[in-house]
Amino acid sequence: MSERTTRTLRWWPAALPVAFFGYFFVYPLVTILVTGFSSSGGSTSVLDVLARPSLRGVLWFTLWQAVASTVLTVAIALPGAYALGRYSFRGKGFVKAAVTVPFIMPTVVIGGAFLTVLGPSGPLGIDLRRTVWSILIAHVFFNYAVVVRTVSAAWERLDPSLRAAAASLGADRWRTFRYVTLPLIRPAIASAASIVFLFSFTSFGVILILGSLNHSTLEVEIWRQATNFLNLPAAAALAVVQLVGITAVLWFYARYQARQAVSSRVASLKTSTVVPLTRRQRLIVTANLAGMAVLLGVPLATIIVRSLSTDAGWGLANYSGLLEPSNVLFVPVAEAIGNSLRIAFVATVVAVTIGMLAAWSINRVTSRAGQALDVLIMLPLGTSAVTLGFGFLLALDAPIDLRTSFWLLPIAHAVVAVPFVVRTSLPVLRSIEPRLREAAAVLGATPRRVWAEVDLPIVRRALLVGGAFAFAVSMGEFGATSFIVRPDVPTLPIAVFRLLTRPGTATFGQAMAASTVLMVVTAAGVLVVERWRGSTAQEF
Amino acid sequence: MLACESIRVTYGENRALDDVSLEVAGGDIVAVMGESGSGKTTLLRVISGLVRPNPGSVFWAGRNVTEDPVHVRGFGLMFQDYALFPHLSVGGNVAFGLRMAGESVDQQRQIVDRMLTLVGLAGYAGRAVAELSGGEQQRVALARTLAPAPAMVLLDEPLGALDRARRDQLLSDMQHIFSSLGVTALYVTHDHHEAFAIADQVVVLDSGRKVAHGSPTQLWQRPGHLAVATLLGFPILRQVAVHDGVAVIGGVDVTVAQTDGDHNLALPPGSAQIAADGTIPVTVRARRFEDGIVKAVVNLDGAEIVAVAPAGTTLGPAMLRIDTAALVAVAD
Repeated sequence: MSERTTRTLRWWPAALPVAFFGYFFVYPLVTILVTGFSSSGGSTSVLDVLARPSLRGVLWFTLWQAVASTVLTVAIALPGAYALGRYSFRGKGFVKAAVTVPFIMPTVVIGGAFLTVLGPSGPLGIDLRRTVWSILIAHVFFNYAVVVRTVSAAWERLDPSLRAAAASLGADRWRTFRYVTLPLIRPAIASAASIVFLFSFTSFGVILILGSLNHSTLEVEIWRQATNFLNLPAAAALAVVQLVGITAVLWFYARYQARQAVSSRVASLKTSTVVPLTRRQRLIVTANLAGMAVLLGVPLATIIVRSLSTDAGWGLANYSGLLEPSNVLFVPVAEAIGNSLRIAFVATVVAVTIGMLAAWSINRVTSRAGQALDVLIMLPLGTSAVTLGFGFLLALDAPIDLRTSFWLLPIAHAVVAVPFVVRTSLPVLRSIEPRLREAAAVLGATPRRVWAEVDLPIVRRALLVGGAFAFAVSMGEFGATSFIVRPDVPTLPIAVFRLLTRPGTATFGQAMAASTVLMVVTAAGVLVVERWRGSTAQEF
Repeated sequence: MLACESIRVTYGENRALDDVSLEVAGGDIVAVMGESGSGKTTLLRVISGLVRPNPGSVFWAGRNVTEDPVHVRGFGLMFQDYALFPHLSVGGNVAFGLRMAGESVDQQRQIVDRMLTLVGLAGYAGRAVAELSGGEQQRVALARTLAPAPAMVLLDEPLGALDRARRDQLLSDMQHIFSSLGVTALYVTHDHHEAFAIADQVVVLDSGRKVAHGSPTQLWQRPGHLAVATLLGFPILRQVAVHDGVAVIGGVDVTVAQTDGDHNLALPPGSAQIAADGTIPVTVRARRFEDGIVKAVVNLDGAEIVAVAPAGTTLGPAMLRIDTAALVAVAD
């Protein structure tokens, strides 16, 4: 084999992901940029839009609610991260998986849940709907897992001898935390906080359902301008502002991480936790678990309870209502379930295929090109779903008009889901020692067989986990879908949203029933895979 | 027979191997000895095909195999950290090469059983690799390397990760296995005990160059090169001026066998004693009891010398006697 063929062979797996992201991500975004900067209507370019006081209000609200959500989430989740990161106890694997459930819950389900919990007849007994509190609480609920899982993983890997060393040098419990533990877990906290900030900054479904007209984020405003007022240039201009904001956050984050890279090396690869023995330790663990159960369990349980309550007492009437033709949708809600399942299946297959090829290329090509591909694939994580959907709407009419095709939704969902597949499988691919591949080659395996016999079996489990996340993402995707869904082929989240925003207790009951279905389907896949993941040493 | 001709490997500015030539006759075991960074692992990677020399050629049985990709070359390479496949069982690891060669399942099972018995792990085929101890992993790696009956076996510090007792045992086991199979092998190590125990011939690399080649006895008696003497643990008196057969060592005139000029003089172990009739005044810096004998550590012109000492030797001033006939000059 000549040098040249070797090089080509190394590159071809990257071609598909690059083409896919070029056409379905970069091209739509560039179209938005072009639309946003060309002031065709005279008064709608980016600068004009920024000059409007009402939109400056939107920008301000977007920013401060994101900061408040982030601070609240970190403050509330840190004790939980401590309990999970420091102690080991029976059922910890289950707790970790259960904590993740809200994170994969579709935003419309979360919105619906808090409409009930924070409503006048909810367990709190006070009506917080349409207040900013409902938005903040929903954001904490949704992002709790991000902080708990990221920070507890860092905590688990702290070398216990460091704490022992600090104690032997005369540091009490507080100062050991202040001067040893905290500096070492700070990168994990920063990493989790920036993700929470990003999610809150681009929050859409939750705000659309829980907020009033005064509580409009950039994301909601883009959607309103584009769909309610049909002002595409204004929407494009707002999307540009949104992109700039997100890029700034990602840039600060990357700089911070680069500076912190040294301290993260201190962490050992082995996890070290202790069994809670003293009264105090048991109290910490028990109190935290109880807190988690209330925070995370009550909203989800409320949905189920409410879905079973009908005008005629307890019953399944709300569920049977899903099968009947509805006056809210063109089709029975049950058909939306089928649509969502079909779309999620195709999106998962696409996302896993593209993600696998991308991860393999990023891992193989260590040059700048590999890094560039890595960044390209990660960008959808930071880009708002609404912007993506809007870009699809603007861009994908030529050369092939995909806007009425079945493929449009699965592709959009796959773009959003690929980062999850890459992020779960890439660390595993990276952890495969080059010597293993060399050993296989020395024992007679051709390059292709090395991939089939070494890489694939080791990464298979991670691909499954990534696939389950991709499935959950697609099942619950609302932002991009709300732009490009065809009215006669609604997805389940779209159906839930329509039911939620129609007045009437019967439709609200049906919304709860549909939410329950969506919740169960989404959670089932991820929980099954989570159990599996628990038995491996991988942590991402 | 293996022959390497004028192998050079360059990593950026750094020459990992420089003009190294080497021959290994069929059935021979040759040890490659050197400090870390001397290029010995690179040499194994060149021979196995993982690294391509530029320039240089590798011949096997007279055929130039330099351009053959690694998977068709058919040399068995045993990695320093074993590189066992974590996703395969012990049996799966040992069978891997046989599977690549297209052996039947029956044949694979037979050979796996035979290999595991040979390395003393009969009945381990179903175990997970992660459950094994370091010594067991080493044996699995050895079985995996030997299973496809490679033309030649290349071993990279095969005992490096093990404690001393296990090392000695595996060393004799390997010797027995290699001779019973008639294996041709290249054995890389930094430890001269290992090299001398297992090899017919020893090659010494220093900073990518071959500096010595000979039988263990030859190298011990005539190290020839500073790097060799250092690897053998000989203390070295640097740049000793010899004039009319007399050198100044430790401030005292000593008659030596070397010709006039400046020499690096290596002092083989056992040729220095602390004794009342010694001629060189020294200071005993440390004392140890080793192999049933008391030994004193003294500093002699910058070299640390371990001398046989009488029982009751204390730290402090003492007289040293050296066997000047044993001194050997080494080039640097």
